[in-house]
Amino acid sequence: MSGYDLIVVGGGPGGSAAAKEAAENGLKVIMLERGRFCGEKNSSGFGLSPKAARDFDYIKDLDVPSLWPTKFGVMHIVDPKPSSADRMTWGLTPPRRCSYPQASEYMIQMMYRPEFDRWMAEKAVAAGAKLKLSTLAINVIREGNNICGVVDHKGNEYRAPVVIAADGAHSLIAHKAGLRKKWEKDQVTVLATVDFEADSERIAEYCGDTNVHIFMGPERGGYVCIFRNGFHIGSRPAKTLQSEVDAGRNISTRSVIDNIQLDFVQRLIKATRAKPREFQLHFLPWLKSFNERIYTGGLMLTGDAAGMAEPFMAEGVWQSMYSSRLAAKVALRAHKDKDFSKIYLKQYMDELKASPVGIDFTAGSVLRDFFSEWTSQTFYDLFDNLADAMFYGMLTMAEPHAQGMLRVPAILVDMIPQLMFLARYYYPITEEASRNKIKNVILSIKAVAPMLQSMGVLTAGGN
Amino acid sequence: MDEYRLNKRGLINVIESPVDFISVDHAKCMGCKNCVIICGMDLWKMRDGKAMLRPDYKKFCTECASCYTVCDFDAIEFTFPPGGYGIAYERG
Repeated sequence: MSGYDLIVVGGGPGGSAAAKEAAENGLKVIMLERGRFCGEKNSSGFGLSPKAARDFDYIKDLDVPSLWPTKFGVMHIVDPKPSSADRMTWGLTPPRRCSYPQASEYMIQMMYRPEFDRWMAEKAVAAGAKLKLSTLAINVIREGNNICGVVDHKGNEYRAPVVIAADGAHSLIAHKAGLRKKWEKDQVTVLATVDFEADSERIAEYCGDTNVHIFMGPERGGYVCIFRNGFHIGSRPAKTLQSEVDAGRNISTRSVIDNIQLDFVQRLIKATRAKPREFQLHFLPWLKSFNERIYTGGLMLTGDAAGMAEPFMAEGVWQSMYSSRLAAKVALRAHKDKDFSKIYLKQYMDELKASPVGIDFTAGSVLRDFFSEWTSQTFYDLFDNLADAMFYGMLTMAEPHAQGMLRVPAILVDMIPQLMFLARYYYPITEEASRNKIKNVILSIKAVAPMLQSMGVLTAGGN
Repeated sequence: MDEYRLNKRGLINVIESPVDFISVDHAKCMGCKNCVIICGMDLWKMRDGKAMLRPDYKKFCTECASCYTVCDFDAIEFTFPPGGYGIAYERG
């Protein structure tokens, strides 16, 4: 039995962000990782969003072999099956209107997870945290109402007054602590990915600065993430385990096979002489609302273990780093105040809910449904019509230009059902997002109303 | 176009666990087939109306925990292989 100030379960980016924060502020930290190295258990077709660079100063030093910041991304609207052709394709650079500099420099930073996770773990170890690999934490130790340690698969006990469980979507610690039995079927999804090995020079020549592709089409979709020395082809997003069970078939695994056959993907495979290298299944939480059951006496859940992946596209790594570092800060405070009770640790949940991670759950339910619609027939029809408006209308070379231009209004009229469909989602999302703003305006009017009334600016009703 | 063949089982690297980490309680299993539908590695099948796990599942399971999650009758127990065993993703 050994004594620590903090036990971190799970050596992913979240666990390492917590361990680093706590260790560099003087806590004696141990981090337990079930893989033989950090990142051995993760598959994701991974891109780190610029939010990580904004919020974590050390991300600017990131330097791993597969790292490739996305300067150009491509969206493909794919024809209905059985075609495997693009109907419309467009590419774009990062946005110009940004609230911080990194967001206009790249969209995401692509890299392989084992490389990133190990780089993060090295940061935690350099800060003084102890890392124990090949160690699965299977249970918690309780003392009264508090969790005060964990037990590993060999029966070794680790004790600390506070534990951070960053042990992934299927968190054994969350189960053993009684915070949840299992996720509901509509709270989780699985992505299938195939990693392809490819020649890095050919990738550089063929792809240039374009290393992310998203596919959408009726009942089909997926993505390609390109790294320096290989790429991931991912399955159709936006379906939960519930929808797979309802459909009676494994949509993600089938869709990744469909995606490999897309014309664009076949060209990429041939041009880069690529060969399948690894098949992966990525199980992740995809909740519609913020999960509040993420703490108890002596324990805080973070990242996927807490269900923090955002409700739109289910991005999770920045959320995991952010929530885990916050948990470490609360653990530091708890040590100072010598209070590890459930009531004290509630501040972790409250602060996370008020943070950008929690705010991203605003309109979560509509956001998730909207994202699911990206693979609908209506979404396809929207772009199908848009393509005609542009290329049969404005840019036609098939007929006289003036006649083409004359066709545009009629095509736009055809788009009315799809524009109404967009409004159906857009309105509730913006309403939800502006609700707090409107509430504040009304409150401030109410606050100054008596003063305005006394000045004669406002008169009471009926006078 | 011919159906693309993907040899999923040939594309994973698993250090086989020395102990079982998934179990199914046939007294609880009502044969809903959710596990058969959801397993991306096709490790479940039905026999006599009950879910059966392939005897060699420890060689192919990617530890996603989907079968455990979709079981409507809590008949499936899932932990993880001991530390250092199980799926080894090199290019996650």
